[in-house]
Amino acid sequence: MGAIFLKEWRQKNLLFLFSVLMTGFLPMLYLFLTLTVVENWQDQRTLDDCVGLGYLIALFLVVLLSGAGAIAGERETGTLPALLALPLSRLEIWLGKLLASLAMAALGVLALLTTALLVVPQSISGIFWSTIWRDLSVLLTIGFFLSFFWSTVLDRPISALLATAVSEPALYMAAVVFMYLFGASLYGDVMWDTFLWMLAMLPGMVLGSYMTFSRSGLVRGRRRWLIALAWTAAGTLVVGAAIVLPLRWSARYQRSNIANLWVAALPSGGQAVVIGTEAAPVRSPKSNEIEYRSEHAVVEDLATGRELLVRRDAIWAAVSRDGSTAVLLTGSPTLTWRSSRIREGTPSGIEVWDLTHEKRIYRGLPRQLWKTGTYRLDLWGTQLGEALSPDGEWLALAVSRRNWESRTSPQAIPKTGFPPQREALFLLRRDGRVSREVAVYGLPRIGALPYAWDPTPGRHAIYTWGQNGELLRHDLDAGASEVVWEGPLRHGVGKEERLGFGWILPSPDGRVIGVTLCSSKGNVIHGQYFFPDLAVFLVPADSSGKAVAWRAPEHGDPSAPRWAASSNLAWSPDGSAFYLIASLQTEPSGAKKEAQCDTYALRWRRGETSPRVRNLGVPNGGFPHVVLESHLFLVWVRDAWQVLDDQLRLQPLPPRLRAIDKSYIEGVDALGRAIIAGRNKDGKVKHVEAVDLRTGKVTTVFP
Amino acid sequence: MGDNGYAITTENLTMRFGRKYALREINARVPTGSIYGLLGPNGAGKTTFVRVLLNLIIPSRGTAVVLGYDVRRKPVEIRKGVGHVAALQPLWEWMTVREFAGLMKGCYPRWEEEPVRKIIADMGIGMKDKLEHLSRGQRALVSLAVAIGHRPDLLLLDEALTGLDPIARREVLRNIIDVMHEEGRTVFITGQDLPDMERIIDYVGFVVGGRLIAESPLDDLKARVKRIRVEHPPDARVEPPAGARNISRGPRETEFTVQDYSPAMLEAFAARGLRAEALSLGLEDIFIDLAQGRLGAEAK
Repeated sequence: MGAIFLKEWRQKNLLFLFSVLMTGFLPMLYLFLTLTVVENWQDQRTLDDCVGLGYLIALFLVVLLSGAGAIAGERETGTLPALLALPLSRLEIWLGKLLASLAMAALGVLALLTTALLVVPQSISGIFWSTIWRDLSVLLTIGFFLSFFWSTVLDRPISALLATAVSEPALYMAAVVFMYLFGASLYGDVMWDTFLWMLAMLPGMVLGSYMTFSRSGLVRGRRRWLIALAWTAAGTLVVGAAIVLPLRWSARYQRSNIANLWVAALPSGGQAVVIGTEAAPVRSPKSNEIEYRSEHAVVEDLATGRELLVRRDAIWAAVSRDGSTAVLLTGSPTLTWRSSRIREGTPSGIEVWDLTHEKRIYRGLPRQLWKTGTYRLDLWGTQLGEALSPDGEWLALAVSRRNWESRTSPQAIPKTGFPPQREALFLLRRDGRVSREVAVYGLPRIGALPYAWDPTPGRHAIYTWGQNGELLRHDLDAGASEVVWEGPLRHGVGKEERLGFGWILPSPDGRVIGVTLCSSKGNVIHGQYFFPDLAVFLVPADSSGKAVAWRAPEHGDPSAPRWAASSNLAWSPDGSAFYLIASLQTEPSGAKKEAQCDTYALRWRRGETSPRVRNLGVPNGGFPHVVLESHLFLVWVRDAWQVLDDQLRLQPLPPRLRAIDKSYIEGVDALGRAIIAGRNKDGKVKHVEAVDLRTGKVTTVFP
Repeated sequence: MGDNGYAITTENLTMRFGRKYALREINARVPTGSIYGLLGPNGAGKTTFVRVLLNLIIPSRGTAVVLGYDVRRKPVEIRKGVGHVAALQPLWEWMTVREFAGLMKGCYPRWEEEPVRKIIADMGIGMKDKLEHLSRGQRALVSLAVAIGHRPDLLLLDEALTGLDPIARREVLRNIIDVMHEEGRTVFITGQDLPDMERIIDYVGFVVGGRLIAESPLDDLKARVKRIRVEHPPDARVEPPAGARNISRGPRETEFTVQDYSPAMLEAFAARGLRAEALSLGLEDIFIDLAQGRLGAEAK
């Protein structure tokens, strides 16, 4: 092999000579132009850049020529049989040529870069202080191996050179399309990810080159091509699988970075847990903005442990109530040269998956949601549990107009301010073929649902608030809207300019709609938002009959405003009763830690003129979770969990829940189990347990 | 080294390029220590046969054993023991003679510098001369000289004598081929210049259309294949013996070629009062008859 290496080295002296000439020619040209043409510093700068560019072009020429002539040159001159007749294995000959060509290319690059740094330091040195050196190194490496590969397949160096010039950008585009189609983004950076995938093809190219050289010998034409392409494809597939399969496995390992869990019910009686993994929010040193970057979305059937869906680079995920459909907002790179890094919840794509058949139904991004489109998605406004209609047929995304400037994340919301007002719901049918846009009004408040799906089977309708406080129903199939209820203004609640739109929750049969209303201008007390004049209405969905109202009772000083915080609304599974937890505060003072505050559980049976209210006798609002099948409530009151039955009577609390903080319960599933997630100091979920509320049995879900 | 006394043996060796057969079921035996000439017209498959022996191309079917090694399994071992010269093979024009010899020296485990230098010097070629500045004949001589530098057990000369002037040819014969032969090493030559080949070889193989139609020691072949001329009266008709080919009838004489000549044939004609004589055929005549299919496998 050494003899071959020396022979190649001696032969490629011409190439080195070219490099030397370029290193001498360009400085002379630079000097000449500086003395004759340059008149000012701007011209000098331009000249510097042009000469710098000349060096970069020379770099590519030297590298590509080194590889392109390695074997095709022997074919062109007819000396290949003489070479193959030597008492050396094909591997020795091939390796000798590869190493010699590589060494010559490296030497040429070194010579050119060194001279360029001396001649045009301003233009070239910038390469090393930016990511350009990374990009340049990768492109040169890929270019060399590509040219060597083509040299093995083709008969002339010039053909190999041209093939390289065409195939390298083609490979780049192929890698981008591959990432776009399969979400195979490793680092969320289009350029770097593309380079990594191109580098992953190198082993296949090297294998293809060697096998072509060793097996085709003096064979020409189609057979050589078949050998080359077959082995290159095989090598690339093996390497690709070696990358992708461990990544898939590592999705489970990546769960150590779980930040969010969402729970939905699967028709089989199991449950789906949507695990969104997010890196901890970081503040960008350049923009001082908060960035979030998701790495995985995993939908898993907790009953069997089977992963139904694993998706990298998903920034948000949700599952429909019936567990049939999952929707992801992905950060997949688009076919542009811009970075795919997600800022402020702006996705690059929507994916809708049929979980029953485990296949993707829709993938794309409606033009209204493009970066140049009408709307910008508001992730904070898109309620996870309500994004999909009950049957998963429609997707609702909260959006705001793109020209609206002021945006803040929840963490940055001042205590007296509110999150940005959402302007519309963008509704997309799950196959992506039909979309609707519905204006949404409502006082923005954390946790408030400005819309709700009509749960009536077979109907695709959504309820929202109108501009004047009326309750609207939008029939998505028919494309029509109607007023269901004229709203609170006619019922004396709130003032005209400060309308308090609250929760909307239709009963399971869709015949009654429960709504909460209060005045505007909330206040944060003990970590909760309190609003004055809380009122609850039960509104008939068919607009017949009157809405039945209940106002929060007076509490403490009757002259003081009544402040209330309301949390999740809930209907009993049979729709016979409506539940609400409300905390009442007499004085909106953040300084007082022990304000007068009572928590009420409200149960309102249909047909009754007023609800039954039970004072739980403890401060702070609760967060009830309704267990659909067992009629149990899991309620957080006074720093402890309580289990209530549908008569609002206390039930025995499972021992496991006695010491669990409220932040650890992620939800309650259809099997009547509370999902507990243990987090580390960074807030990442490290383990997941399921506690049966009836029996107290604890099941470890993860790891 | 050889396999049962043969430097080269092939069994049903077949080489196909697409639908075209370059070699068809060749069963060849090249005795160790012989000077074997593989003769055939253009496109017969001679160069393809040599390339298969060197594993430059992989045969489609059949086997070939060179110096005891299977060409598929031990090609490198074969090439270590083989010197190969192809007269029409381009070389690295930019190399000097010294660099070319140096490359060969670097590739072979054993090398003798002196014989190479002597042969090249005897031909008046300088070590610093570039190959591109040498004539075709000089390049062939350099290739020949370098081919024996590692003292090969088998020398494969593919049209190596083509283009050499008589003096160069004599030099090659004396300094290379004769020496190889005297040392019991095998020389395998392909070519078309039959008179020249006839003076060199002691074994001959004829290949036509990819098939080996004849293979035999040269002397045996010449002893067996004869042209018989029988003189007879104008109105007489002479019937040649069975198997005779290339029958030519004249008014007073009839000629034909036999593949299994014996003196008894002449005696038989003499007994009938006819005058008959056996004429020796040159290799070229034998080859032409074979190539035209007038002599079959019986000549083997």
